[in-house]
Amino acid sequence: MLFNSIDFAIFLPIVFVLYWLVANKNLKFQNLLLLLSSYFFYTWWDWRFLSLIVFSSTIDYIVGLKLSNTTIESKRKILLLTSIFINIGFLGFFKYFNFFSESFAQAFTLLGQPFEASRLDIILPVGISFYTFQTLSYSIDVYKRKMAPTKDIIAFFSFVSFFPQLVAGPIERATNLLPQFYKKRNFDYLKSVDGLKQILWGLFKKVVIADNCAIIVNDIFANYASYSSSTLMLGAIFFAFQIYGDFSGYSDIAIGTARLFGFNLMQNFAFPYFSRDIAEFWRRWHISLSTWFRDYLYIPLGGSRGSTNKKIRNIFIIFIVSGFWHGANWTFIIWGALNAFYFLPLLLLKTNRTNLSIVAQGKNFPTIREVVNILMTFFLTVFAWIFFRAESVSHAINYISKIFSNSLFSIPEIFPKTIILLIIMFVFLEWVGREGEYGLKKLFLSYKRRTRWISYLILCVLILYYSGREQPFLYFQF
Amino acid sequence: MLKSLKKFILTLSSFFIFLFFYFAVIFIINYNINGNVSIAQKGIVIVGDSHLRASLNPRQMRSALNICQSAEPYYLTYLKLKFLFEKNLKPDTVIIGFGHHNISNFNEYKLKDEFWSDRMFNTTYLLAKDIINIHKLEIDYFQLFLIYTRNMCLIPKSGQYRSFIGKFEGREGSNAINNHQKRIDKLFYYKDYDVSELCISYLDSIIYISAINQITPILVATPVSNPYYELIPAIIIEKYDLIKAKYLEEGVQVIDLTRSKYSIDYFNDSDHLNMSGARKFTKEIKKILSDI
Repeated sequence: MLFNSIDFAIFLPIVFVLYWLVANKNLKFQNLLLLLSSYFFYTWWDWRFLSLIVFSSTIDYIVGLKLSNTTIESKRKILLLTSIFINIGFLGFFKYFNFFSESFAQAFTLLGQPFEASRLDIILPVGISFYTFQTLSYSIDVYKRKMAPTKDIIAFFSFVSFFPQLVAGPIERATNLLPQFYKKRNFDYLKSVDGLKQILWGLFKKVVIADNCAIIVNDIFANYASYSSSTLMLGAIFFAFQIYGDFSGYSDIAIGTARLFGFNLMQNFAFPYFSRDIAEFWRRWHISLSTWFRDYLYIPLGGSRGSTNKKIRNIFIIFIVSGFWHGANWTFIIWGALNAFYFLPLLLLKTNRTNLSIVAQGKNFPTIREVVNILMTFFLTVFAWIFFRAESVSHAINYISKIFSNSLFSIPEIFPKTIILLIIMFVFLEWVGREGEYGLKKLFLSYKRRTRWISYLILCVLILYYSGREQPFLYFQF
Repeated sequence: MLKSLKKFILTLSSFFIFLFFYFAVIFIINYNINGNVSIAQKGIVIVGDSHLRASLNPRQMRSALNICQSAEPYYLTYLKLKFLFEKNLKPDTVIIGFGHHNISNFNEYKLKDEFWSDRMFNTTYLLAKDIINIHKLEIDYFQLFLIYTRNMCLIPKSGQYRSFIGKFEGREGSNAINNHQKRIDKLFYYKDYDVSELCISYLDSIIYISAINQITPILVATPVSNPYYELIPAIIIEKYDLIKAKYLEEGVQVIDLTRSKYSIDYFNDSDHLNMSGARKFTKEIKKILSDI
C-alpha cells in the first residue's frame, strides 16, 4: 500500500478510529491492532513475503530472550551470529544473489575461465533492507546489554512491522521505538495536528516535487545521447530534487503517521541540501541509516581512532557498504566510494565536525561564504547522484562525459518552467522552515488560523492537482 | 483524552468542509466559464487520431481546422463533434480519419486500460457526462471521476474544451521502419485481434450526426508502409473493405490512400507520415476534394 494512494487514505482513518476509540482502553489491544494493521498493510503488496517478517521477528525475539538467559560470552556470541546470519542471509539471498553470481562469472571470464552465471528470478520483498536492519539493531543492542530483551511478543512483533516505517524507514532503533510500545499512549491533540502537517508536507514533496521531476529525469536519463550538456546537467539536478522529495517525503509521511498513533520516530532528513560540507550532508541525509552504520559498523571497526590508514579504511568500508545497501549494482558501490572520497579530506584535516549548527541560524540570509559552500556541496552530491540514478556504470560515465562537452552553457532543450518554479518555492519554504524538524513545522505558526488554513489549502490543491496515478516511492526498490 | 480527540476530529472536519467549500466554488466557476466555446468557423473540420493529425495540414488548405487528437477512438470523436455542433460549429465538410486500426477492438479498452484511460480522460474529461453513458464499454469510472474533479474543482481554468480540440502536429524525421510488428501489436492487439462493432457503430453515428447537421462527411485513410499493411490481421482488412463498400454505396465519399505508393522517406514510422509526407498527402487530398 502506497502512502500516496487512495487505499492508504481509506486505511489510515479506519485504523486511527479503531485505535483511539475502540482499542484505547487496553495497551495490549492497541499493540495487537497495530500489528494486525501492519500485516494487512504489508500483505496489500504481497502476502507471501509476510512470512519473512514473521520469521525474522520470531528469530530475533527468541535470540533476545536466550541472550538474557545466559552469561556465557561464547554462547551469547553464537546467538548474535545466528541472528545476523539469518537476517543478512535473507537480505543477501533476495537482494544480492544475482549480483554476486554475475560478478563471479564476469571475474572468472576475465581470468580466462568462462563461467556461466546462474540467475534466479527473485522478487525483492519490499522493505527487506529496512526491517532487517531494524530487527538486527535489537539483537545487537540486547547482546551489548544496551537494553533488556522484551518478553512482550506482540510489542516486539509490532515494533518490527510498525506500518508507518515498515517499507522505507526511518530505520528505528529498538532502544527508541520498542519502549514506546510498552507505555500507555494517550491521544495528544498538538502531536496529532503536527503529524497531519508533516504528512501534508511529505505528500507535497513526493507528489509535487519528486513525481514532477521524475518525468523529466526519466526522459533525460533514457535519451541522454540526444540531449545537450546543459540539459543533462538539468537532469542531474532534477534527480537530486526527485530523490530528496521522494525519500524525505516518505519519511515525513511515516513520521507524521506514527505521531497520529502517539509514537515518535527519529528524524530522517534535516535539510541536507543546505549543508556546507559533505560531512554535514551525511549528518543530515538518511540519518537513520547513517547512524545505524556509524553505531553498528563504523565504531566497532574503530571509527576515527587509530592510524591514518585505519581511518581511511573505515571510511571507505562504511560508505561502500552504505552504497551497496541501496542495491546490487556497481553504480551504488561507486556512489558510495565517491562519497568516501569527498569525506576523506575533511576527516584527515579534522574539519568533519566544523558545521554542526544549522546554517545561518536565527538569520534570514546566509553569508556569501555559506552560499558558496552550500552550492559546492550540492553540486558534489549532484555529481554522485548520477551514478546512483544510472542504469549501469557505463551509462553514468557516458552521461558524465556528455555533460562536460562544449554545450554545457547552451540553453537546455528541456526547460520546464512550472517545475522549476515549484522547486524554487519548495527550496524557499524549506529554507524558511529549516530550524524546524521538517519544512512546514514552524511555518505559518504565528499567523491567524484563517491564513494558516489557506496555506494548507494551497498545499492540498497543489498535491491534488499534480497527483495522477500513484507513483511508487524510489526507496521501495532498496 | 476523548475531549482532545473530539477537538481533533472537529478541527479536521472543519478543515475538510473548508476544503470542499473551496472545491465547490471552483467547480461552479469552471462549470459556468466553460460553457462558452469560441472556435473559428471553417469550411472543413478534420477529425481523427494521430494518423490524420500528422498528415493533414490545414494551413495548406483554404479554410480548414484540424482537431485530431492522438489515439482518439470513434466514440470520443462522436462525442466531441456532438459537443461542437451543439456549440454551433458548422463546417461544410468533416474529414474523418478512417484507417484499419480505427475499427480494431483495441479501441474498446482505451477507457479501462491504466495507461490509455489516463490519456483519454485527460483530454476528454469535459465530456464525462456523455462518456459514462457509452454502453457496452468498460470504463474506469473512478479514474474519470478523479481526472474530472482534478480539472474542474482545483483551480479556475477557462477554455477547458481546448483540451480535446487537437491540432495538426507534423512529425519530423524519417525513422528506419523496422517496428512494423510492434506497431501492429500496439494498434490491433489487446486481448485478441478482432473488429470493434462498437467503433463501427460510432462511425455510423458520426456520419449520421454530420448528415443531420447538413455537413458532408468524407472518410480519409492515410498511407501506410507496405510491410505494415501486410501484417494487418485479415479479419480487419475484410471488415474494413465491407464498411468501405457500404459507405460508397450509401454515397459517402471514401478516400482510401492506405495502399498509395509513398516512398519510405515520407514516413515517420511504419504508419505515420512525416512532414514531407504530410505536405504530399495534403496536396493530394486537396486535389481530390476539388475534383469532387
